[in-house]
Parts: sequence; C-alpha cells; structure tokens
Amino acid sequence: VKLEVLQAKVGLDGEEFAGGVHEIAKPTKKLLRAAAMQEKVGAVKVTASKEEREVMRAAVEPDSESERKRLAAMESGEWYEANIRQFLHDVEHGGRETFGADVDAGEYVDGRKGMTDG
Amino acid sequence: MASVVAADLVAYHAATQSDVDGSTVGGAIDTLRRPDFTQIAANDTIQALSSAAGDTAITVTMTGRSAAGSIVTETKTLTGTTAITFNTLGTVERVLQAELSAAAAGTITIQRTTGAVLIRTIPIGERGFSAIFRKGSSSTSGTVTYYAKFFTRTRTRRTPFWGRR
Repeated sequence: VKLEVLQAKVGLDGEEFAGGVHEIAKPTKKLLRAAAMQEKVGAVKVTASKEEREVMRAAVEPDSESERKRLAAMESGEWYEANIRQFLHDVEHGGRETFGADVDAGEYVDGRKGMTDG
Repeated sequence: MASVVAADLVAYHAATQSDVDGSTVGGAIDTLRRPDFTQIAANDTIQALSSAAGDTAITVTMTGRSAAGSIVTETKTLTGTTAITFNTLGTVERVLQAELSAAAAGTITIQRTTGAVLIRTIPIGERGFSAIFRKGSSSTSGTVTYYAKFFTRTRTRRTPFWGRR
C-alpha cells in the first residue's frame, strides 16, 4: 500500500508517519483499517491493491447502519442519557444557557425513551 | 408527552462539511456528526474511552492542531472502558475532529488527560464531532466563508441554519 501523508504527521494505531509518501510492502490489517479512517478524514491519500482496499472498505461502517443504531439507542433511552450528560456539562461550563427549572437527568431520559426523530 | 427543554435542541452538521476554505458545503442533515463541543482550555493530550467494555474493535480518529500550529491526526483502537491516550497526536492546542469507524455499543467520552475534563460525549449510534473550517487558514486580504448546520428538536423536522464568518 502507498500512503501519501498530507499533513505534518499521522498515527496509524501504533505506527507513526511524517508528511510525504510512504510505501509499505506488507501492511498489516490493523494498519489498513487505520489508513481507511485517515483517508476518510482527509489526512492521507491511499493507493491500495484490490485486496487491501477490501480490508479498508470493511473497516468503516456505512452511515446507514450507524443511523439504524442511533434510532435504536433513542428507543432504549441510551442516546438521551448521553445527550443530557453533554447538555449538563455545557451548562456547567458556560457553553449553553438554560432557563426555568433545572433539568432532572433521570426524568429527562424517562420522558423521552422511545421517541425518535427518524 | 415530555415538555421541550433546552437539552432537546441539538445541532448537527450538514452532510457536506467544510474542511478547508473554498469548498462546497451544505446538503442534507447529518444526524451522526455534531458541530459543537467544549474546546480545551489549555494545551493537553487527549483520551477516549467507552461506557461499554465490549468496544474493543472500533477505532477513534482524532485530529488536533499542535502548539506549533501543525495539524496531526491519529487513529487508535478503543479498549473498552479503559482510556486510551493519543500519543502520536501529542499535546495539542486545540481539538478539531473526532470520528469513529463505526457506531459504538457504549457512549464514547473524549476528554483531556489532565483532570479528565470532558470535551464531548458521542452518543450511541453517532459517529463523532468536528469544528468547522478545521483546516482553513486566515487571509490578510479578507475572505467570507460560509457554513451550514442544522438545529433540530427530537421528533421535529429540521430546517438548515446558514451562517457566515
């Protein structure tokens, strides 16, 4: 596989590459999986064989599958638990404002389980 | 039905995001990626962990800007509820992006190493967060750049918000 690192430095799950072109004769699956994500975020350009590209393709979940999991987490209430935790953190650190009564995290989650925006 | 509170208002990126100046942005809502997070208040290294012990196959790709101004990106595999530290990323001056390779089984926490100060949680099913114009540069001649993001409330249709800087 050939990696063209487009910025100062990237880390591929334990291996470090500086900006420039790097040819790796026998890349591990771990490196290919990391390279797939680096390519996705625009940090590297990858030239890969068909077999290497297949490993890379399998390393990144399609957004449609993640969306299915997101809606399931809204149904179970787990999505709301993370959402309220983030909101309370933002309020505490001045990132957001809230008006009226304080939000009770437990009541917030219980009141919204099963609600999705899909 | 629960009344609407501020926590119900959530911001999401548009499907086509800006990575650099001069690129096209917009499109549909991307309900997997958020544009908001708490930027670090001081230079620090970054950590990630899950609330689920089984999250050991998913990778997290973190991008930050070093104190020297260069952009660095590191991909690392999660180790469940044990925090991983992005050592290649090193000490950063600001966080630019976090992207998961797949939706995790647990809630993902991205935090500063010092004091475990929360930067953002990634709810189950979502894939990450990022700043806008994260690889853009300032211009002495002056430019106007635009971005699009969505504000949504649970169970409501959403309309895009267009901003500019």
